[in-house]
Amino acid sequence: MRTHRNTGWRVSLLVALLTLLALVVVACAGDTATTTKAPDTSATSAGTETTAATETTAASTEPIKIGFAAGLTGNGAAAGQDFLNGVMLYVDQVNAAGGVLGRQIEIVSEDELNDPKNATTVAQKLVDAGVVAVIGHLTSGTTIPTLGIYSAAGIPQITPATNPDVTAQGIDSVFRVDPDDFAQGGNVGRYMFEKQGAKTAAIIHDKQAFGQGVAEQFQAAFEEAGGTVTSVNGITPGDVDFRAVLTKIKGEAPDMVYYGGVAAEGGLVIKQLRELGMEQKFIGPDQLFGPEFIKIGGTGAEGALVSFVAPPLDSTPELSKFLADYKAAYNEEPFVAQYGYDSILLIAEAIKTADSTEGKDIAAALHAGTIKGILSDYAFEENGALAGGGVIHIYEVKDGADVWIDQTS
Amino acid sequence: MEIFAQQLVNGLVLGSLYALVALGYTMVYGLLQLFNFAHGDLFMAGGYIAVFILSALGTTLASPGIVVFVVVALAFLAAGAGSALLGLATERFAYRPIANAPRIAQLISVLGVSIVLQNVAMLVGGRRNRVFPTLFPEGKFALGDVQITYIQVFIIAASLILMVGLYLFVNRTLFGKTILATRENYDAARLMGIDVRRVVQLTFVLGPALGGLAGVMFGMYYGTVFFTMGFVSGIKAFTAAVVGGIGSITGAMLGGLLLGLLESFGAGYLSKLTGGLMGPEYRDIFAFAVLIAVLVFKPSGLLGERVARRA
Amino acid sequence: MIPRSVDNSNGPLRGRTRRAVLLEHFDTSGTLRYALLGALLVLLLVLPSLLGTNYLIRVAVQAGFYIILALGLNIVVGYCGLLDLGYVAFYAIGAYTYAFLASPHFGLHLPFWAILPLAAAFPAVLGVILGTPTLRLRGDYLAIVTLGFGEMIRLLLNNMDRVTNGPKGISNIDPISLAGYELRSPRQFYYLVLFFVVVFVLAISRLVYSRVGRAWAAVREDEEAARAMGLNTHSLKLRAFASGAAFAGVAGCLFAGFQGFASPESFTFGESVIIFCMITLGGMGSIPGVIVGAVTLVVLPEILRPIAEYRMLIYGLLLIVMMVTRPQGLWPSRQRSRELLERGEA
Repeated sequence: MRTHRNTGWRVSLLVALLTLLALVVVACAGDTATTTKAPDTSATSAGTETTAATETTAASTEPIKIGFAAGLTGNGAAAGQDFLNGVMLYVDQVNAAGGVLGRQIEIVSEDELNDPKNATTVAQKLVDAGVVAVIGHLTSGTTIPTLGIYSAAGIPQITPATNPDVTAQGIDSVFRVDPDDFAQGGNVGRYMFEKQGAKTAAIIHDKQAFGQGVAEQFQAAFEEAGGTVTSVNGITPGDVDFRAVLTKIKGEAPDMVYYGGVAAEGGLVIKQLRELGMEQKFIGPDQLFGPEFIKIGGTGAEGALVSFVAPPLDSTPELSKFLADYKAAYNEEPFVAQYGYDSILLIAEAIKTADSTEGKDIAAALHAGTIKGILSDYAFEENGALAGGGVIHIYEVKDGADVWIDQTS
Repeated sequence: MEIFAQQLVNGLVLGSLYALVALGYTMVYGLLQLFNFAHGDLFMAGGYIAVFILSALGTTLASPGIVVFVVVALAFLAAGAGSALLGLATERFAYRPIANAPRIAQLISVLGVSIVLQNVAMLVGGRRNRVFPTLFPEGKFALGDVQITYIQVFIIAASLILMVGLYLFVNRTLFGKTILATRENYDAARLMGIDVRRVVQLTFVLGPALGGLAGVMFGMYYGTVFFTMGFVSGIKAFTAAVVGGIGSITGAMLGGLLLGLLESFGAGYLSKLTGGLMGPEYRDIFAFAVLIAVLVFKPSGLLGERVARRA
Repeated sequence: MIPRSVDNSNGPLRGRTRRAVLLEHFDTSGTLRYALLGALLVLLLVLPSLLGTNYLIRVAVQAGFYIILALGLNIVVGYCGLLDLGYVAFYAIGAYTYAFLASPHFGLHLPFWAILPLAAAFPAVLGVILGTPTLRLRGDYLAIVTLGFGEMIRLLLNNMDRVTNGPKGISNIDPISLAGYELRSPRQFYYLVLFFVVVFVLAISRLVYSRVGRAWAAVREDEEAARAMGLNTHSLKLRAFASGAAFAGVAGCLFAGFQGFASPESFTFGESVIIFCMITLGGMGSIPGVIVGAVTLVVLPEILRPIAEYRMLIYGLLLIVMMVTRPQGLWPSRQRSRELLERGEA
């Protein structure tokens, strides 16, 4: 076999040194480091890079580009698609009526497959595309990494992601359109103790950002109200057999069981809970709202309680109209679309009030006053959270559907 | 005490399912020393085939008993046959062309099959969990405080029958004995006139068939199937096969039951044992740890034949 | 089996295939080869300007990470022949090492150059710990064990939330700063990654022809024989395993510094599969091969975004087809292709 002549190392060394030199040269001559206090994601573009949202279109007939990002295929695609539909419903209505400031709204939508890694890539894409505002992302796991990217580019971001961390970063251009996990878990904790008479509770959660977050809030509020938590148990998403955990809880004989997580496991939990002969009250957060939980839970889901941030779709004339319009356009029932609708409504209204499409003007307008949407009147605190915390609605599964029974604040 | 008994029941059911799937792994491994990555997904395929058929037929428990019975039987048959066919296809296209290649190529190839199966299921069946129609009477016995549902009884019984059936087939029929012979010594079997290619194909049919049936049972028991259900269950079933002694059929059965019980009790008592440090969500970690431990300390398992350490 | 390049006929090819002749030409004219490499280097240096948008530069940076990962896995699988399916665990550990030491999570903010060696060392040490009992196992057992290990690490990262912040992940990770300059833009980061890639490629190509490299080849081809010749196969395998782990650790460290965020979701078995696909597609044991594989499988999904749903399906089919038709990969190393094809004819 031919042996390799070992003089290659000299050239290798030369090449390495050249590269190092090049690196130094480029680093010095290239973009200067920023010392802004923007949240630390080193993916921000600084200096000479083209940042988006500075496109001041002098010609005021060009469409206003607004970005949208959510998981449209893959896990959670149904919610993402539903969310997008809500946005598009508003856009179609407004564009037909002449648009905003005489300009049509154009939605630039990107699919991030519900993957945080993709979310940042997609965020960069939207920034590069020159959008003036962004609706997204849908889940906390995919929203949090993108906060820095949009805010460094001066693009206001509206999201329904409920994790409190979303508004805890000190960014003044992010806005959350629904109550956060503190409310969902906290209000429910108090509610179950006071109104439902549960003195002891066992908690199950799926160890994910949302599920665990909401369960922790529940525990804190429940204990503060005077209740006792018998155990906190984690399960793994993707798992199907929870009998072991439930049997263990059966031995603890609590008054109620709280489940923090999504419908895929939640449905199985309630099903197996009842199969084991356990009769406790059961309540879970808004991920359990809707047909999926009920289908998977089967007969076991009857009587289960679900907390949801949205009021029933027939409770106000605005919502009823939205429901009718949505069904006419998409031939199915919405479940998170109303948030999409209100998100784009907020942006449009802010643009009108500010009479500009500059990111900071839009953000300022959103902070300034109260805007009326179909779900509620929106006023935001400095960190972007909904002013006043929000109201949580309690539903019970009766005859295979969610029926509103109460609300808590 | 009732809690213990309840966990026991849970564990037995879980274990029966693991055992059925483990059989497929152990048969292929015993013969070819190949860990058939795709086997867990054949289990999943069975579940999906059943779901498709049942959804298409739309039968519910409201229909007359005989109709329900026929429909369910049909689903089982289709799932078993379907998985068997897929197993055959795996052998033909992903294994046979490279039967003499280095092991690494074969492993990568079946890994590819696994991924293909999962993704086809996802694309055809949708990303979300598919709901499995309830077609089994929803009742339960109560022995004291222990609840045993009818379907749990069914699964334990059916698995037992299938396992005994396989055992008898392999050990008592001529066809089955060719499998044993080929496993003992591939070349000698060939010299004795056994069509070893048929034997290999048979292995790739029996194992997946059982796996497919287990998939249907899984769907009925949990009320749901999802395209990743073969992945972790597959690894656990392989663990079971190894624990029981890879290559041994009785070993796989035993290993399966053992793992099921271990998992159930583990999940149930882990937090008590570790003072709350590790809760039931550590169940999978626990199973993987068992796998690594067994492979490192006692790779031949409980009933294992002395499998050579090096190929 | 007589290798085709040693035939005794007297025609112009002298019994060799035309391809063999061409490659021989490449071998002798070292200057041509170095000239090409030089040109490639220049191209890589100006690539960000050519690409234009931040988005594309980001893709290039991603490709860089995967090249490092592929190079690392290549050492384990391609050179030493160990089937490691849990490679992503080392990537995760490298990333979390940086995340722990340079973020508000524990309040530590160590500089990059201090963390880098740790990010390489921890996975390596873990690799040795895992490998010591398990590398004695046969190939397929090793595959399962490493698979289990990879999953265990991900689940542990997810479950031990008091330490790792669980599924929420660690955010606000410090950007990497070199000598006072914070690398914040993808363009700046690109050069850092390029530097590492070049250094690693050089290091590894030297490694192949070193004593260790050739010892690995011996272990891969026939372990019994290697042992009979006096090689300490166990220690060699450990070294390969640990080296591969170290590379993954560095990649992870860079990844965390770039992304600013680390969560267990990024480190699934699927990732291990993808890296595997890269070296399989490109050519196990071949440096240009795995680089080609890595770049292809990073760029392709971006181009194929419209059919992103089918991506994994295509990867799966790819694995099967490659193994059945061309197991040596697209740009194979000559030695490996001889090995893989020869055995096929046995």
